[in-house]
Amino acid sequence: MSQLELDLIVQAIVCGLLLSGVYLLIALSKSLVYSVIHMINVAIGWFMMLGGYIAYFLYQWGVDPLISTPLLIIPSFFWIGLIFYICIIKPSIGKAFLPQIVMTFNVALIIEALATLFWTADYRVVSPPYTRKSLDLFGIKLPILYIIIFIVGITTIISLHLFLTRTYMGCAIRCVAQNREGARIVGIKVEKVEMIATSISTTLAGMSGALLAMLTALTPNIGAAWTVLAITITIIGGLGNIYGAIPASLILAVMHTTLPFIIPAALSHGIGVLLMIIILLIRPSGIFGLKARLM
Amino acid sequence: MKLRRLLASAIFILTFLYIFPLFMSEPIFLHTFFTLFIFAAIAQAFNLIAGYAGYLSLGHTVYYGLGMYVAAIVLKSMVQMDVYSSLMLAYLAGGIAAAIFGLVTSVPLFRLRGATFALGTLGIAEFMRVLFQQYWMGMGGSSGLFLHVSSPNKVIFYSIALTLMLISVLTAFFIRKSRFGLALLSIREDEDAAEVLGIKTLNEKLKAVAISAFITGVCGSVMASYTLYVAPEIAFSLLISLQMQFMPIIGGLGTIFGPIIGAMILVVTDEIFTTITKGAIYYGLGTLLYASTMLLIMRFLPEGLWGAYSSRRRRAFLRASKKFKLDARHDRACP
Repeated sequence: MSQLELDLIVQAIVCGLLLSGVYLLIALSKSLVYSVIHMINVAIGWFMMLGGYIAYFLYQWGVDPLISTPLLIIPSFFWIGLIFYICIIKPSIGKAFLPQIVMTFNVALIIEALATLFWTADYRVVSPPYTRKSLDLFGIKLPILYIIIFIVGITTIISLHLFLTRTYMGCAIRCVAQNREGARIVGIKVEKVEMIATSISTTLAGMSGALLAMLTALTPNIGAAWTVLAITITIIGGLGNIYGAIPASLILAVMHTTLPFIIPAALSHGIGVLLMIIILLIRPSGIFGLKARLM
Repeated sequence: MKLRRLLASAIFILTFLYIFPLFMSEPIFLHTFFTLFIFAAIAQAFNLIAGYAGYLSLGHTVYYGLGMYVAAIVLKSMVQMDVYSSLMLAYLAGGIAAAIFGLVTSVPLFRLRGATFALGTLGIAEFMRVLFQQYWMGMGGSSGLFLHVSSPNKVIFYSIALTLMLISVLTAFFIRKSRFGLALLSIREDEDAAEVLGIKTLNEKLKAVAISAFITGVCGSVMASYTLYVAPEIAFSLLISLQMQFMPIIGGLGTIFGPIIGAMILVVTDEIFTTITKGAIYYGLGTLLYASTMLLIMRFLPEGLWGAYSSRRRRAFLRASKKFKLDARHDRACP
């Protein structure tokens, strides 16, 4: 193996490690909603797509995604999450598993239709000037965008951890995730907790969408692919296990950046899915076999 | 008495449907009905595994897509044969390939239950989609495969689809009435209890998957020979897979008429909304209305249209039987 190839592989691994920040956001979003309301939210990829489009829309008006994400996207997605909970999730809690999936999928279709109406089906890219620059560190190029993504991911998981362990609402979320009826008996307002958890999940989805919009091109039908990605990371980390998402997103991101050296790039996503099936079969509680829980 | 009335009306409707193209041969009607019949057959097949056995598969499209691709390959390689025998061969091959694939993948997957089973099947469908996007074996990759073969006209396809729907409805009906169907229902209600009672649950589930995959695969191959184009995006997409589940769920899961009604509502609303919103100009508006309608149906009738109707009828029957001191235990479930 020549020096050049070795450099490339190291470069790919570093990029993968940095990319895991956004995968972490996606996985956290999915895990949180699954662990609290035990519902597979198919619409999550479409929420991400919506976040990306809002970032694109604001970027057209000259607002940088790094400014618009904390100021506009996070609050608006919090409210979108509240509405989503009240209209869709609350009526379908306790119902069969199938109607729940169909409900969330219909929401996904509505979001896709709205995006097609407003922004048409063309490919859209959010490309502020710094997305094309990179830092040079010991001969390894660190794209600034990837560094931003990594920082956002790390910040999010740390703040989520602090929120879940240090605040009343976080403890209530963990409590509902462990035992819904018990939480109700203790006096926790379960509906409110579920609403907050859904909102946080939607907010994370919107954030990750805004980041991914700078990374890849947006189309209204990209939601399905992102949903599958979210499911893959979540299962590899363990369904409903928030901390399992860290190794899972690292593994998957490094796989997605290094495997294209050996096999076609599209197939590397397939390998990820295959890994998901294998893990589902031999270790349904995630790659490290931690008990599925929030803490 | 009731059965005879049902049979008479079924024969009447079927005769009407078979002679329908004689006096209404507008391509748009034939196309809509063709789609409707194919979707109804798929919905019925999906209902076998999701409605009766209670195993929701999110990746049912994999059988449909496999049927499509196998039929495409057979049709491409059998150009010198005459049209009808090559079509028959393609349909059989598509169905059998899907059934074998279903058996092979289901043996490990049936160790999972509920949500994890759904996600596992979703993973398999996604893997197949990615696999067929590669350029191998002359599959055309992600740009798809065009079939340059001669094919019969729309009326023939109309009758093929109608026959297919008839076969799948009859299959579902006889399964529902048989011991096998009862075994599937008991698996849905409580799998462990069924196992204890001596039902070989894995065998029964595999049988159901094989039948369901066969019908879905044949539907896929009919669709491939109709559109003469196959691509990974239309064969293995998550969207198709989810849309397949709409029909039995909207109509009523685990019933016989539910999937047909669901397919009817789905195809007809889709066509109507696409037409009235001038699909080509305001692309997306049709989908918006369609998804909102489905959302409202799901919100207020979660057990589906036919399910709600039949459970209301059953409740009325129970009330009446209480009134007249009849034994409610002899109440038969509505079909």
